[in-house]
Amino acid sequence: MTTSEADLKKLMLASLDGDAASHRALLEALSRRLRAYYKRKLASTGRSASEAEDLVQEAVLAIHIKRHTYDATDLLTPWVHAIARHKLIDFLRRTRASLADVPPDEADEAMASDEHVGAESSYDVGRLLRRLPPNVKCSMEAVKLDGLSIAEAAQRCGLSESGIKVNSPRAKNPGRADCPGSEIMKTDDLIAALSAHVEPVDADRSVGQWASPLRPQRF
Amino acid sequence: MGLALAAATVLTLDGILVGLGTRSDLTTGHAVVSVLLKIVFAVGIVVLASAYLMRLARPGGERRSSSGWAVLPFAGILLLAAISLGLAPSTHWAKMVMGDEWLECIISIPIIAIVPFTVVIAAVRTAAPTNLVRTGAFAGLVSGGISAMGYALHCTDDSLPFVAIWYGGTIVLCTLAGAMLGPRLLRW
Repeated sequence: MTTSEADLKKLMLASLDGDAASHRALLEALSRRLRAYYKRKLASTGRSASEAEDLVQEAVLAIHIKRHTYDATDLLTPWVHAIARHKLIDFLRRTRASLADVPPDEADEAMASDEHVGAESSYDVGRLLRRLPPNVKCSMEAVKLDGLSIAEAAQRCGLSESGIKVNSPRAKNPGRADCPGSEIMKTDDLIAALSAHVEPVDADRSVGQWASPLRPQRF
Repeated sequence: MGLALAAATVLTLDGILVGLGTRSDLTTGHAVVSVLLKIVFAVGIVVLASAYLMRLARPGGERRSSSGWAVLPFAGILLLAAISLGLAPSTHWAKMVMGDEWLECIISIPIIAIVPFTVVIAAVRTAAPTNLVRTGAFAGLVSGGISAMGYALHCTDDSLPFVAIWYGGTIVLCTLAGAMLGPRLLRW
């Protein structure tokens, strides 16, 4: 399946209007490209390709959370590429690789090919979340999906801040690819979960506004 | 973002009026001209820098446009300063450059700039810059410009070389500070 800039952009515009199905289709299409992109990049920087899935999830999450920064008059793929590359550089910096190891790349490279691993893990998020203990479920939803801070998540879930950190492993230790529980959510499940939270976004005006419903989140 | 810039400006001006007070001769003709000139310089910086900052706040924004325009106000004031030095006898140069309160100026502008910088960084954090050094630098430049705008109401040194060197220099300092802080403050 190849999806062009025009198709992806159509999906993005629909998802900004709050269409959950389009949002999910968009994230799925992008995650396949991101997977191929990160595997290639990690291999060429001498890193293990198994870390690619973490990066795919971070990028998908970033695309979801920062979708209000997409300017609808622009092309979509350069925007996606900028996020993907930003996440890659951030990852390499965190894991102490040299930035010089990232070869220059072309803007269309992020969209160059399609790869879909793990399609078999097609649990719906309800099932995924039901399997988790209630505290974990609430923490994961609050921190990973809704982008709340640790303190806000603690308030919502009625837990202490350290309780939230224990229950949402990524938040506890951003950047540790090997941290326990980082596989707790498969990419497809993440996409399904994100698509269950779609609200219309005013892409143009919300940049930098105080009342933006989306909040910055550290990975 | 526009809202944040307005809030930063109002906060800064309030702070100046309450904390430092305006210069006592603000309403005289000579003062009005020089204050206006300094404000035009500062506003020029703020407008150009914030236009670019808004682009930088989006992923990939740094690839789309050139930041060279931000140099324009600095080039302008340096040119005017050079002309005014050229027209003045060289015995006046030291006085024109150093003014009466150059030390107060280089201390005040960066300190006042902390207020708008905080507001601007908070606003940029809700967006998604992908070049954090440059975004930080432009946040610093905008803040330095806003700070200079406010400080101009208080400062009584009116010579063009003074404005070019001490205002320009401290605003550049704010820009460098922003570039250093950007990667820490803007991570997402």
